[in-house]
Amino acid sequence: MPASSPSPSIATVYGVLMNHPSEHEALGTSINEAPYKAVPNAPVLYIKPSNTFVSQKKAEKGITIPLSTANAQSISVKGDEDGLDMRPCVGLVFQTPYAQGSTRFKTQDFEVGFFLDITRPHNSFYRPPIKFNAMDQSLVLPAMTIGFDSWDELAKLEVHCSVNLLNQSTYNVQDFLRPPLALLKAVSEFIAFEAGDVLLLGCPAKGLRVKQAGDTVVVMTFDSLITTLVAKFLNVPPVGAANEEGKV
Amino acid sequence: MKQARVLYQDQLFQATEEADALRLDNDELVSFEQVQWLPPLAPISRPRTILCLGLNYRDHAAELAFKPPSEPLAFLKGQSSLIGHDAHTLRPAEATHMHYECELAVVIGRKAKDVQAADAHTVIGGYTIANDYAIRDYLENWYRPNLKVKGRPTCTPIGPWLVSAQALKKQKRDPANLVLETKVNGVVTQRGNTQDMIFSVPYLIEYFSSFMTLQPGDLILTGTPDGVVDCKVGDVVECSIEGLGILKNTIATL
Repeated sequence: MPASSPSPSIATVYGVLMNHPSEHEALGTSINEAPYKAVPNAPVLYIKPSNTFVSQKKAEKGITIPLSTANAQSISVKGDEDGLDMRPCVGLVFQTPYAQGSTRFKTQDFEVGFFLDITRPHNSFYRPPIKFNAMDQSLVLPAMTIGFDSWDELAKLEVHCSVNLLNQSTYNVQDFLRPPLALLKAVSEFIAFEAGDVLLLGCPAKGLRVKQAGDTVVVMTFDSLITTLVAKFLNVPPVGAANEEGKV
Repeated sequence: MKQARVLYQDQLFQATEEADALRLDNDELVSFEQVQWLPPLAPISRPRTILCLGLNYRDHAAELAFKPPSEPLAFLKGQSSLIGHDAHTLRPAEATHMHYECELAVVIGRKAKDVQAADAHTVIGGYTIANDYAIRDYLENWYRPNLKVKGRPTCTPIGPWLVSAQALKKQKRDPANLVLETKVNGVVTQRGNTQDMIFSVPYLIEYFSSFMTLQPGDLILTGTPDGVVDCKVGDVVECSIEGLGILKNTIATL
């Protein structure tokens, strides 16, 4: 088992949508109707910019994303529903650059860790979801990332997520439509990766939702390959809502 | 301030324009052709946030047969797609619709969160030109436009200069009233004015900073007017914006 090391300096984080069968099932026939009109061909990517990064340490103390946008004055922050969706992702961290068009990826050039991708609920995937998923503190970074020996080892990962240790969800990396290596190749066709870049491998649809202040999320795997990740959510007034003095 | 960043004899320099030549910060005077131009952006210790606007000019929206949006239509791209002035932009062999997009690029100069439009000028570090190439063959309807269209290496030329708001003011130029123009092989194919933006630069800063903190070095590529044309291998594309110079690149084979 390769030695553990502290998190490298995270650079551009790419996430992927529609890489799990449940995402296709959740959309049903609407996949082939407007606006989508067909199943996606290329990997559907989104970026988590650096303002979203929050350390494990800070996340355990409390994340300050408003849980409700019901009274938000600003058009930019209304979600489709209240609460925040948890997308616990396995992320591959590039230890070295890989040029566009790479087809050979060596396991020793990567480390792996859990990233908790936090999204405001939204029901359409037609346009990029920036206002729903680029909020400050909406990506909890792993405290540590570790190396792995083979792509098969990665494929065996089972990811467990819970809210308040009660609501639980589990998924297997094995179930991804594009397994890690295939995803790397597909994305490399059009992206040049830099050292520190991260590729999140995907996430099932309709994960757990955090609704209340104090809700605590734990992400873990049972075979000690990757350390656990914990995040707690604080009570934050809705953005743009009047405060006690009646001012916005 | 009007500055470039260049490689000269394998060393990195900041440079200013002097009599159609470059004054390097070691005092040497060199020609534009003697250097490799880099994006005119100071290095930062975090991955650069690059916000891009689709459909932010009234005529361009009509050209692509869309109704103007009621909210900014924005997407993110990664910094590995940036390349400097006078470089090669790579066209895939199978592409049939590779479109330049001449855009006013805003460089954030101060930490920006919950900034009101009236105060937007206080967080702007400067302006430059960006060419937000789109390879429309790859368009799909999932998180559109996707990164296969927009995030490709060499496909976001930026530069040549970073021009401060004061420098533009000295030239009696207003960022909200700048002519943009693109030439392909010397022929004008696109022309517009930043006054035709659907969402203005101050509004965009207010909008984005309402849900995300922007940091110095972050970019907002503010969209392109109508007149996009397919660029073929060998084409020389020049995007110019009043007061900001001319950003040139040549299409080459991927």
